[in-house]
Amino acid sequence: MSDSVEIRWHARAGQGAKTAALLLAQAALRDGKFAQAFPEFGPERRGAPIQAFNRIASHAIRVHSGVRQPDIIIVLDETLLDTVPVTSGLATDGIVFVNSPESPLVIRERLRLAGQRVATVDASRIARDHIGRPIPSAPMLGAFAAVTELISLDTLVTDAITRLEKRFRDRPGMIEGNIEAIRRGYGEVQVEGRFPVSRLERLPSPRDVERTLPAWTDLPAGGIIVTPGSAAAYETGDWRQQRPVWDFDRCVHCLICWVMCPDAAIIVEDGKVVDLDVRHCKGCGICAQVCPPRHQAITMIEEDRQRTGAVVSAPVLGRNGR
Amino acid sequence: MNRMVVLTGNEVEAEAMRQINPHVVAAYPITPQTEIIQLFTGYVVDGRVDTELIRVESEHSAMSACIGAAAAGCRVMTATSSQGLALMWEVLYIAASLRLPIVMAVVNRALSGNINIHCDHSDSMGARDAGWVQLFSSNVQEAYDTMIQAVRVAEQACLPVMVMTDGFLTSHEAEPVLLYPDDQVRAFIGPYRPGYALLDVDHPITVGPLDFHDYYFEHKRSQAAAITDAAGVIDQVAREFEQAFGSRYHAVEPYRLHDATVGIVAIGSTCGTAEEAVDAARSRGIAAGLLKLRVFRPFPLPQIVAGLRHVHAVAVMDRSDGMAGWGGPVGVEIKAALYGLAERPTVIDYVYGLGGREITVEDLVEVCEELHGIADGQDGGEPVRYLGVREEGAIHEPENARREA
Repeated sequence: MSDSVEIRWHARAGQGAKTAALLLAQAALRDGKFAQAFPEFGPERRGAPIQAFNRIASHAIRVHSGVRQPDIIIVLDETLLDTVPVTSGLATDGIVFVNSPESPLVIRERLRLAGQRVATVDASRIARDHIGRPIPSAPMLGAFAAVTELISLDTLVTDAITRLEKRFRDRPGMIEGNIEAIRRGYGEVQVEGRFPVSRLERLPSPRDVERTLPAWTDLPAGGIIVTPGSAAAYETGDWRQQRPVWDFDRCVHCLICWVMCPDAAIIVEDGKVVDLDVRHCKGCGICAQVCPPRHQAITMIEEDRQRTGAVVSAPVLGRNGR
Repeated sequence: MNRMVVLTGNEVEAEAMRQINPHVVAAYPITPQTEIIQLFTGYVVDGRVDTELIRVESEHSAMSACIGAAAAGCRVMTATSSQGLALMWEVLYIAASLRLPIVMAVVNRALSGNINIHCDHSDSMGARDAGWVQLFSSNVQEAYDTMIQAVRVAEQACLPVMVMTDGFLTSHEAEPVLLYPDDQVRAFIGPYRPGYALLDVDHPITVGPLDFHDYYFEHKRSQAAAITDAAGVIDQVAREFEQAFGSRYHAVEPYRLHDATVGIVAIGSTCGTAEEAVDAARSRGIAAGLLKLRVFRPFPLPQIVAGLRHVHAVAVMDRSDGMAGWGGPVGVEIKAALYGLAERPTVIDYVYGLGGREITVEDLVEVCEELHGIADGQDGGEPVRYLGVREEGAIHEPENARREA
């Protein structure tokens, strides 16, 4: 790798990618390098696919555009492999880190990668074990240090302690847990490499996509939208980390949930709740909140993304196992 | 029948609003605009207009209500001054971006602090980049005629329009003014037919959605084209106004400028004073002329260049200081406009009249004399000058002596 390394993070909003990119930049700085970290912000909320970027170099960094041809890719959420072209633009000698219990070979198959290196670590499980929550960034940073040697484990640990001491002064267990998570990521990462072939095709950047859109002369004045249905075309179902499940022994079909759902994702027929529009339910939980306390017919359950892959589109309604 | 009456600027603007009979007016009172809305409210109460008058708790709300009503498909008007315009700042941009043809009378008044209710142009100059068409009037007749034209300009250009008068000068001075019959004014403005309207439920639209890097820039480009094209709309409406009512308005109006060696550029009520000064300077052998700037947005670049290109020295009268370190906004823009000329006049920016400081014929004759000295090569001096401010060393009575007297 050259004296300038570009890194792209793929995660879901709320998984800590932005903070992890910042920590990586701080650690690189402490190790005597120049570094940059910035997220790509959209309108999305928790659960939506997001990107974050790092540049690490031996010289001052002047470029501020997004990373489209990365040397290193870090994927914090395995389900993104099915929905986001995470490896686009990867360098010939590049590395992909994936938070997954699978071996690098399995992930290589899933990504249809001919060359490059693949590293995996079950960061979510490590995080659950030591931090109590599936925030995979700490073990992923450990894995990153082990494979790339761009930052040292010592620096990473020292930085993490400095940062966490302020936040968890009353809970030393959290500091120890995070440090242990970094160390286990460092120790348990599996890496597998093949002879480099060629840089992967760079997928369209935002600029490329923007070039395909209508010219300003073809747009209605005032930025108004004259075609109905633009909200329906925007599938927010992919953001979902929890989903509502109805207990129809308790549901009285008062339809308060239907009124309050911000995505019109609760399907009602003949005055009764019959289905959930999983393409638009983003798992906000408002329906469960507004369900009258004496009925409590709606429970939010975790989407088990890590095990089942993409969001399940099969019917979810039922008797809730009772 | 036309009627010749004696009225103030505020009165004729309220009269124009009565004749226009807009669907919605949302406004908040502020000196020196108050009279306009006070009089118009009377017309509403007396049933002389059909307008839905929305009384709001601030100018921010006034403009917000105007935006909502205009997006719904209504013909909308309002009026404000000074701090009121400043409080509207963020929503002014939304009105323009959504291309809503709101017409607003702005009675120019200085901005605080310190607190001052008198005329300068800091308020409307502060809004010059908001995307509104800005039309200035230099006397009461112009205020009346411009309000009527503004409705057509706004609706044809799909842009909001500010109509300016000078606070406590044009707004409160009574002058003879020719009023046109209601039916002729209504025939001139015609019915309002919005291209899109939120209340047109058969054709649903979304107004003001999230607009990121994929579309925002295109919408701004389209808005920039609209303000550029508004120049043609203003001129076309002025031609039709001449046919209907007899007076011809232009974006810039020269006075004795064609053979002048020195020129003054002015806006608002100072223009009449400057015409007197030009005559006085000419009687003293200085070939002076005036360029009255009536339209400030869109900036009438070709007319300004054509008007000033032959002049040796130009005084730009700036009734606000841009606080940019090099004078006021009008001076900066006039200099930029003349940059493309191979041989350019020397431009001196005169910041004057702040907070209602009086400007006299003698002041402006003095300006012509200074310009004459520059044209002669005697005065190569300061490009930014403050006219009528007390400079260091000025003789003034000690404070204590005055108290004892």
